[in-house]
Amino acid sequence: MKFREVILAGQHLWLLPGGAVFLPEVGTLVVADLHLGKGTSARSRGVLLPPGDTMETLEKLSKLLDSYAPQHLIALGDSFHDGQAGDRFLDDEKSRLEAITCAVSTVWVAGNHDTLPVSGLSGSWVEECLLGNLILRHIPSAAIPSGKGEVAGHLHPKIRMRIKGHAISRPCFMIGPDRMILPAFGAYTGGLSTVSQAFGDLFSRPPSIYVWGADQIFRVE
Amino acid sequence: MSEHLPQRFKDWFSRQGWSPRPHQLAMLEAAQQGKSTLLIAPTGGGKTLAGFLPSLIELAHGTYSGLHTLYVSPLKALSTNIAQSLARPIADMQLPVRAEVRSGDTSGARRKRQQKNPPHILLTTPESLALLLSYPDAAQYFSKLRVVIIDEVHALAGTKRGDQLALCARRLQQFSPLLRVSGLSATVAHPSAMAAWVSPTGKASGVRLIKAEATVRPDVHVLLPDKQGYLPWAGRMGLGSATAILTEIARANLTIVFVNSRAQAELLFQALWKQNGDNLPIGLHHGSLEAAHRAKVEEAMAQGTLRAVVATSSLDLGLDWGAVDQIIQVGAPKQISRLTQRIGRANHRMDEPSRALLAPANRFEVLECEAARKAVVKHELDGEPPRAGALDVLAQHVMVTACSGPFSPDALYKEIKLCAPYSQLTRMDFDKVIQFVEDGGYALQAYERHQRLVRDTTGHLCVRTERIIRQFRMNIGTIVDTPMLRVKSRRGKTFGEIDEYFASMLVPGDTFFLGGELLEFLGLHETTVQAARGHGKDPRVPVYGGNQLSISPGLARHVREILHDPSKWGVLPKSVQEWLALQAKRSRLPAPEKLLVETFPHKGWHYIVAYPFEGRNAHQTLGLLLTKMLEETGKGPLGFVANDYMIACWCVHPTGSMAELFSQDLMKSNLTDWLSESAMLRRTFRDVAIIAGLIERNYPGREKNRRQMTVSSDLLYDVLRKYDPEHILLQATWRQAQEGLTDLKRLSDMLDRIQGQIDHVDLSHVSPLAVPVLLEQGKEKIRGGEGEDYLLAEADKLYALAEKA
Repeated sequence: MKFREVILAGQHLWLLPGGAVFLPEVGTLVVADLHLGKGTSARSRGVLLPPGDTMETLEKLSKLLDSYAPQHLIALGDSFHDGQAGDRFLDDEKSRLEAITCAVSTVWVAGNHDTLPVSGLSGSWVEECLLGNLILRHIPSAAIPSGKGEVAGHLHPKIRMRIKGHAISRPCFMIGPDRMILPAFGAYTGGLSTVSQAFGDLFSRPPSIYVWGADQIFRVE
Repeated sequence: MSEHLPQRFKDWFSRQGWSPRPHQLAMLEAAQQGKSTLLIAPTGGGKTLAGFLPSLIELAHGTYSGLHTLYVSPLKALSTNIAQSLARPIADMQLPVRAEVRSGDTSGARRKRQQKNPPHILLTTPESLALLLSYPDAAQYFSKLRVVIIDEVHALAGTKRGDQLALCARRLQQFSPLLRVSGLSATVAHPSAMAAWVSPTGKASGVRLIKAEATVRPDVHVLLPDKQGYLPWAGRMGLGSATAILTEIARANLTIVFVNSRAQAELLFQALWKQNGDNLPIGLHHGSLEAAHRAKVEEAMAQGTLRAVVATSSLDLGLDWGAVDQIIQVGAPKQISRLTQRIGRANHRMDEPSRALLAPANRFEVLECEAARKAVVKHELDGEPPRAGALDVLAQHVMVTACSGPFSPDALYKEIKLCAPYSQLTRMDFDKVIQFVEDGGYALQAYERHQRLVRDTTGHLCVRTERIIRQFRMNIGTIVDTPMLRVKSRRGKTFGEIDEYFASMLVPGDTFFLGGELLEFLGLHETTVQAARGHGKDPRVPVYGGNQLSISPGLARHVREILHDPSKWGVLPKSVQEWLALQAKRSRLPAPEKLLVETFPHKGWHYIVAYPFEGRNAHQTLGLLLTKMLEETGKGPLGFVANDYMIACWCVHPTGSMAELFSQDLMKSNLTDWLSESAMLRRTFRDVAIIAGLIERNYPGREKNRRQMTVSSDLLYDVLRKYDPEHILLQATWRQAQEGLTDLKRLSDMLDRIQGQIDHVDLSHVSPLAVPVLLEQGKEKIRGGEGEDYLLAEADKLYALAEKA
């Protein structure tokens, strides 16, 4: 699998196919918006979605951990679709999640879906965290202190483009001079178009956009 | 036979100057014997009156209170229209009968009144009926029902709406065991299958079949474009025939100009008005126009103030729009039965010949029009018998049943087996559907507390909470449309609707046609498209959702017969004859019982063009299979394009042996996997998931900016295929695709037939017969995988270059 290196606030970041970021200098893997338990979240309303999404997301994450063997894992918020998501996990899902948090020291950043720590979960629970010059938080902030870079999630960016007449729609990384928005990593997460106003407010100039194919990263804008 | 007709009705008939038709009396006799019926009659045969006559007579005494007759038709507009025409005999004879319409448009107050004090005759649609059946008082409400009249049976049987209606009709029978069903249908190729569909027992023997045959042969001609009948190579719009069409419109009082798509309707309407020097009043009618606009056009037709209407299938069904003199079909007729029904629109009197003109839009369509003309005059019919009932519709029906009160699965299974579309349903599939409705039916089971249905100690099932019932009622129905967005001016005038996907492709300043007007796109305001009257060139034409109808096997066979036999070319215009002669000289003509395959280099790629004549859907599937095979053998396929007659694929490398490529292995290998990956199956799954109640309908405006929160059916499809490949909804998707979209049966029969019969011609350049398909729109590119990665890498390289500069 080929990663693609970008630099944000002087720090090296590797964009990985699948929508994760690896920080080689500190051995840290960052993922955003796992939305674990989303498939079972609306069951009380009678919406009975197939429940395989949690396992799918955890498996995808395990594969990345195997390939990059990071010391730390940072989940950038909305890791759990709602406060009761953990209660609904099946035994397999619980043990897979435990295997992950045992193998790597995990930091759970609070999101708007999971504002409070999920009980019985290993790892630390934080509002945001600082790694060198990088601020990692769930919701992108309006202003970033100069000299710092921000890595955030929340918005689930997705790009629709036309190359030689062929329309392609993909989740993507959006990177500006001082901020990066990660795509959502969860199996049931949809996307918000990159031309949406929500992104216009965050990037004063058009950001660089990266997507991934079978095993490599492409810059498309 | 007229002894069945009371004096009051006899007098009414004679006051109108009519005498009751034999089929009307036969319907009456059957009703008096308590028999269910299927009436097959051409348009203009007094079908509706025949359907209602028994009810009116039974109600004439004035002693009946409560709901007596339920009339169900596929169109709201048709119900309204029928209610109006019923009003006449009721008023003339002063019958003590109340007839009312109930549809999605009926006001809340009126619905409440209808609930409390039901009319004698209720006119409705399958969706509104399903909704009525979901209420707890359904059993009581329908307990005195005597008759269900189902109109336009041919348009419902074999569709999901038809499945739903058939299920609902059996439900009504449970409430009122002596109920009789009367089906009204246009002439169809499979009358006994249609009778079984109507039958209370699910068998044709349960109904009396009454036929009123057309006696007069329709008068059908092919209408060639101006310029001495020159026909373009490709194109489906038929705009070149505008002048010729106008001339014909001027000759008659009222003409319906039928087309095959909404886009074609818009463009042809423009083209006609551009040359309409005499300002003949010509209107436009299709499903994307505002209801008010359509109503205006319909009224103008009825009043005789219009000379012509350009219409899609929105005018196919039996509304009575005044005296239509002729119809003009522009573009491929596609199916003999559909054409016959369209021609029937110009048949307000059954004993006079209908007049029809067929205007081909390109060279191949001349052959098709000529073939269709012969078939229609010979009263040939085509079309498949109704297919087996869909499982997603069954899931919805289970929920409808559960919402009205606790039910026993055993009893429901028995009831459903009496429904022709589900007469072959196995108990295992039924139980899987129940399981799905109950808790999702997943192999991975999670969170038992949150099921949809709960079982009581007697084994009856009911819905767990009132909230789930309310939510479900909003999702009743089997029509899944792409979400449509309203198009409005800045002042709030509504122009019509366009589909969300098309809207998302527009940038401010783009122009497009809608409702015959050229509009400029200003922007998307929440869920409304803002537009103003525009100027400018090259407007985009809204591409509306919906599958394209494939040419029927019968019609395709007739086309081939003309094509391979030069002695039959005499009826064709000269330009077409020359084209075919050139094909015979440069390459070969497709021979009967063989498959002609041409290979040639063109624009740097290696092309394969095959001529199976199996219809667009089968060809699309063939395209998927061929490109997959070509990819596996390293030929580097880039894309394919298909029409009703042929298919072309193009590759980076030379294409190898055609006999090997078209071998039967094509069907055997990994067919299921390949097709499961395709966009066609994904689209099918989306519809299945919505109808079965897995995901909720997307009402534009309801969720606004929460788009990233809704789960797309594509993601569900992938997860389900991986973790639960045997799931009932995947089975439902696959069955549906096999029957319709992919035309697998037609394709595999063809591949069987042509084994060892490949007629391969290797050419140095494109053949005359192949030109049309190369000009065809709607090329399918190879999605995902290496092809797209290649494109993304190209884009990446461009940025790298731009950054260096």
